[in-house]
Amino acid sequence: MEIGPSDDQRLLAESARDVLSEQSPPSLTRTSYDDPEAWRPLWQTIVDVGWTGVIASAADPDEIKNLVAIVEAAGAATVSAPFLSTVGLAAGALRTVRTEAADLLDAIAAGTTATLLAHRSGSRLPGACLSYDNGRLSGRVHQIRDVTRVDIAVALAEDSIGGTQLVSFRLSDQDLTAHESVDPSQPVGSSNVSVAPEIVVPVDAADVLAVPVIAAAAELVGVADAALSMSVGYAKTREQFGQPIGGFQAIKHRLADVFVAVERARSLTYAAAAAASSGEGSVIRAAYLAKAAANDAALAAARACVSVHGAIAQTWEHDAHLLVRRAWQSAALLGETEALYRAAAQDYLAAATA
Amino acid sequence: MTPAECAAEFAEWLEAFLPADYYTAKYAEYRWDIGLRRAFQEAAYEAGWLQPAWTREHGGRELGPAETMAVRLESAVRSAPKLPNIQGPGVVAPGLRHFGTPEQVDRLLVPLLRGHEWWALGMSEPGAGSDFGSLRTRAERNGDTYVVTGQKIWTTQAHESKWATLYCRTDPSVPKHKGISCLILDMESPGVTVRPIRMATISDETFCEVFLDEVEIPVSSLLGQEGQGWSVAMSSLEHERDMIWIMNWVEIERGLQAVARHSADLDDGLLAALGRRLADAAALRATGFRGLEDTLANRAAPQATILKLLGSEALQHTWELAATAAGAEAIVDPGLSFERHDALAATIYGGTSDVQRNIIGERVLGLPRV
Repeated sequence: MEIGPSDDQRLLAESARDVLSEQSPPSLTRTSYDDPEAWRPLWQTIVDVGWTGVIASAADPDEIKNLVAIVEAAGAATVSAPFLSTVGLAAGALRTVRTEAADLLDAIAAGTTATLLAHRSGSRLPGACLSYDNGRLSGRVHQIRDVTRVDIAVALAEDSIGGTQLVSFRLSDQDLTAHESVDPSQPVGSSNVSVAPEIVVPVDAADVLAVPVIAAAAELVGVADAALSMSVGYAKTREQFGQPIGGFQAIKHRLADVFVAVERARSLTYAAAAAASSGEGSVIRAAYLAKAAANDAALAAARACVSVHGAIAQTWEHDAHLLVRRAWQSAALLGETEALYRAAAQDYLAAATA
Repeated sequence: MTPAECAAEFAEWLEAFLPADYYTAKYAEYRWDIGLRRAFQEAAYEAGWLQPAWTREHGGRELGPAETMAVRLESAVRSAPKLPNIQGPGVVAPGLRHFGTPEQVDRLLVPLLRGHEWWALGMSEPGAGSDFGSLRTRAERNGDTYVVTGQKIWTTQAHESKWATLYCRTDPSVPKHKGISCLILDMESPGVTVRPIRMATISDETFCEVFLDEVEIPVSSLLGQEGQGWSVAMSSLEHERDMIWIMNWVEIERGLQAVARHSADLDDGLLAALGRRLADAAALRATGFRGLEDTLANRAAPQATILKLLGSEALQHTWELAATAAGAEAIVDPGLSFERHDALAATIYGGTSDVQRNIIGERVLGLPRV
């Protein structure tokens, strides 16, 4: 399988960028910080163009690469609707139990919103965050992305005999607390879960988590790319000391290093998507490396963006902080950088010394 | 044949060629076995594995880009012997094929590819390193010959080479990139003095100074047109960059294995550092493949410009990590010291990291030149 996008995926990405440049301008992201309903028309557009059906009840061999193409564009547009949560994370997890989740995947395609619960208190890597015993789920879950915007929760739960179950339930019925998150366009919160799940299927946690982690990486590649483009555009036109600041090597080399970081992350994300599609190699290691590199790229690109722009990048009206906020928030969710690199290294060492 | 089938056929050939204890004896010993490396080049030429994309007579089997890359990666993965005069087949040969006259190709290419005649790159000068366009070695035309006077430096293996591609200024009246020509220099010509330079560490890629005192070179030894030297140099180096990332990648993989030997001693910080280098190696390979896919589809591949910079920087970081993982033992491990010295060269040859950043900044991002 090709690592990069096919011709069809290039077209898909292009049309996603076109749709989102109109339907998800920076002004909408900014509005969504204060207006909890501002994302709904955008969500309807996303449903209407069919992106919610990318991971469908019928398997498509290209679905992961298609997902990556759209999520990358959504990241670049700091989409405020819960697209990554619903399709990338929840449907991305449910695809491993497609038969049992067929109805839920159909509902997601039709516009039901969902998210993936992946964090216990203090967790640096995604994993099981609930207990499953006697037909009931329980536990305190942290850092739930889009907590107030989604209907359904998908999660990994540890059962009483040491196994892992993929579960789903109606999140909006639970006791939820929304926090003041650094990126208010994807409000994050916590919940005390106590419920009987709708779907319960035994799974391998790494199998389930690979595609959500890859989708999270794709979003950050989009964020990083947008921050780099913004920086380059400014560096070409802003003049100081009688010339465009992009001519100075201090700026030029910094942005070249950001370009390397972006393409490094993009290559790893595409390679992980190809690996997850074919099942070749250690898919979870590839996913962890992609997310870690995407964290690195988005954080470096966001910092450089603010630095290159100077004071104006610290204002509310400038778009830089939209990217900074998304980079910070998404880099912390579904795997923090150092923990991901460590986990990938441990997977490598286990294979190398086996 | 598919790329995988080509790689498998190459692997079978390589296994038959290599001594039985190649993988069990220390790689470090065979690394310096110049006889084995010469024999490998000759055998690879004969079998059509040296430049797989080229015709049979030029050491290939007319494979496509995907098949060629599969063979190169296989060769890297299997630690095939290093070509002893890598700039010959890697840099000079593509330039010679592209720009050479039929007479030049007939006379020079096969001995080069077989490794019978070694080549040096007469590029850098005391005043022209990264700023290659400011070179001052002067070639004045006198009838059917150029008379060349000047000095080259950091000229790898000049003392062992029969030939050099000698970049000279043939027209001082035009802006600097335009007045350069590439001449094929017979290193045995009168007026050529070669002085090897002692290297900081053990090396079989020794630098030399080359002094040129009214050296006569026939006009028929021009490679490309007069004044076309800049294009000859850039085109030749571009071929080299296609191969450098694969060389970097395999050295990184070897470095990662060196780190893995200390797996019991790696704390959290070192584990994370190892993860970063695993990401570099995987990204290098995936970016190389993306570049290949774009080339096959006739698309621009701006991401391929990161290969040299990412590969060479990652190589240094990997061997530094290997040294950190080894702890104080690292300083009494001559093999490791050699790898660290060798990795230091990677961010210099083929265009320094800072020149690569200029290339990315200006050609890819479109930032202004100053």
